[in-house]
Amino acid sequence: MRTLFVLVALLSATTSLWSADSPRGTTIQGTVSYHPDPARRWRYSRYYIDDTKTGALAESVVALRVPRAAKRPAAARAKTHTIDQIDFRFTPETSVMRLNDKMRFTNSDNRLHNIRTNDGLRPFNFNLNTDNEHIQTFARAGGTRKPIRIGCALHGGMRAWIYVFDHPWYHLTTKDGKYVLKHVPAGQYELRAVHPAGGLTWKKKITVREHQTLQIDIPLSPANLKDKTP
Amino acid sequence: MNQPSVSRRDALKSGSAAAAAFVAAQFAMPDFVFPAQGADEQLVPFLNMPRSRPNMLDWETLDEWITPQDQVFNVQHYGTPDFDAAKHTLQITGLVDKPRSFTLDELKSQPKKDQLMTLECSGNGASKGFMGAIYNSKWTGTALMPLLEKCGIQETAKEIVFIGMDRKEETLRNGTPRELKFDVPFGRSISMTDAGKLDLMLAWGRNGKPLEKRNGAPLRLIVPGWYGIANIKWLKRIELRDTRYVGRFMGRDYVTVRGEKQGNEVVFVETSVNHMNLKSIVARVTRTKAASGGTPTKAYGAVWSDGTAIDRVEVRVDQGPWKTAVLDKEPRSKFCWTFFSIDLGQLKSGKHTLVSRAIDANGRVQPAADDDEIALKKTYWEAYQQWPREIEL
Repeated sequence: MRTLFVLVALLSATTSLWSADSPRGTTIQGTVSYHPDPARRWRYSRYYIDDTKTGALAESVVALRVPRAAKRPAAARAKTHTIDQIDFRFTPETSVMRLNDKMRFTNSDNRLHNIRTNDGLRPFNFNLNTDNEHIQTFARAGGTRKPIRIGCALHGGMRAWIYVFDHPWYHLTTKDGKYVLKHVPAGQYELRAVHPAGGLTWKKKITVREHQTLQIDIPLSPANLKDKTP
Repeated sequence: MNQPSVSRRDALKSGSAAAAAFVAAQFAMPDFVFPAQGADEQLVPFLNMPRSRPNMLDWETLDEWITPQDQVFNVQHYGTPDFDAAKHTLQITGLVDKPRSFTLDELKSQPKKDQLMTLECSGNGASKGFMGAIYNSKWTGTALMPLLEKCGIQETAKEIVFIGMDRKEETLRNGTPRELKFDVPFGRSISMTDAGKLDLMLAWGRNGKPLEKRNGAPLRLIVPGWYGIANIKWLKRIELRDTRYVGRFMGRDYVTVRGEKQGNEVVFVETSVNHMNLKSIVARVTRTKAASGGTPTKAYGAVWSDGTAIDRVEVRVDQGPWKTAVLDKEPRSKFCWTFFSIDLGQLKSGKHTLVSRAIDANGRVQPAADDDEIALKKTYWEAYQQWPREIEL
């Protein structure tokens, strides 16, 4: 009996290792950091950088751009993510999700809010009362290039971005700025980083071989602004 | 008018030895500092506030008396119109002896004037989601009244109507048998009496640069001391009339509904939004290294009005006594905000609430949210109540 249990456990572990997420793949990891330029100050850096010595940047989306013909691992069971509206702010402002996942919008403010976008294949626009919720799905994975930009028609200062992917190799950084993309199959990719609130973009062509751990730190600065206007 | 004093940051940048230190410490330096703020002061973020965003004033990083363009808000109700700016003309019509059209070049050949002015949206401060709709500018243009006088103002003229190029279909009595739809341009009016007291101008420039389209280019009416709604963008026509003009933005929207106590009765009165109100706000709180007695804390802010002289600003922490803040001696200008600062001493660790109130030369005091003047106001325009700020040390 004990032997059978060990065999089942081993088989289970092996199945996990050799799952569709390319078990022989590589791990890509690193830190996204922001390096200020006194001549081009970023007014809102205080929201995203806790440690000004390292410049570790929160709320950056790091993801692979996967060739169209490349095989995508099957998605795991759909998850439901949440964007709340609290203190007149979409929280979180930046979200990442797989194409088959769902997004739940909630409203914790004691005010009527609105949620709208003109992006994606199915633009939407609806009001949301306090303590109500709305579940939204998306028909297209826009990756890092075509996020779903969300606004509130009633409060113009509110904004959010939803990045939808048709593969599992994406990560949203937290305060430590670290990201990790696991089980990446060998191949040629473009590694991309975007910080929508800061208007920052970064990309690099990379070659992934099997059984590697690639350390790729991503230093951002005003030179990475999408809008190059000083 | 002088520009705001050079910030500590700029001073550091200008000295070579200090510049080296600055480069070494660039990660640790705050990116934005109030003119009076010391380099060792750290920002204490406000609690429970939404993040600022571009094209709105970011109070916590306010460091320039003249607002940079990336923090300038714009509001439009009929969308941004399409037009050929090169062919733009201003028509002056109605009760004038010589109706005229002016090209932009003809307007620019008139005597030029500059006007320093803080422009605020009348809804600014109605909620914490709309707090940055205010900016300070130097407008460049020409005075309006001499132009009208050239056209010969007729004695019967009672009202000046300002019409923009933006337009929309409006509906009255929506859903009733008497429903009425009509296409109408954006308009507001000012009485001849008010116009005589105001320094109205037609502006084509802001802060030494051409006016941006989103802010009203090619031509914008400037009404010093009046809320943003009166400062008509994309100005196309000026019409003098002998009857009151009651367009949507005079008679239906931008109407403040306020209860006034008459004996034991509350009587609601509707008034058109026009001149700005006395208002102040704590823009930023800073701290330095905590000592045994607490955390040295300072507050910075701004105060403004419709041009009425400001007597003082007072600040209090929690429910403590009101303390008088220091008003910056310069820069100042009649229709512009004035920055203030106050040393709050050492505050204990924990959460605190700070609030400022302005008092003008006539003794008028900026009301609190629960004062009748605000509490009985049923519409969100003219949101000039005191604004408490929460912090945690």
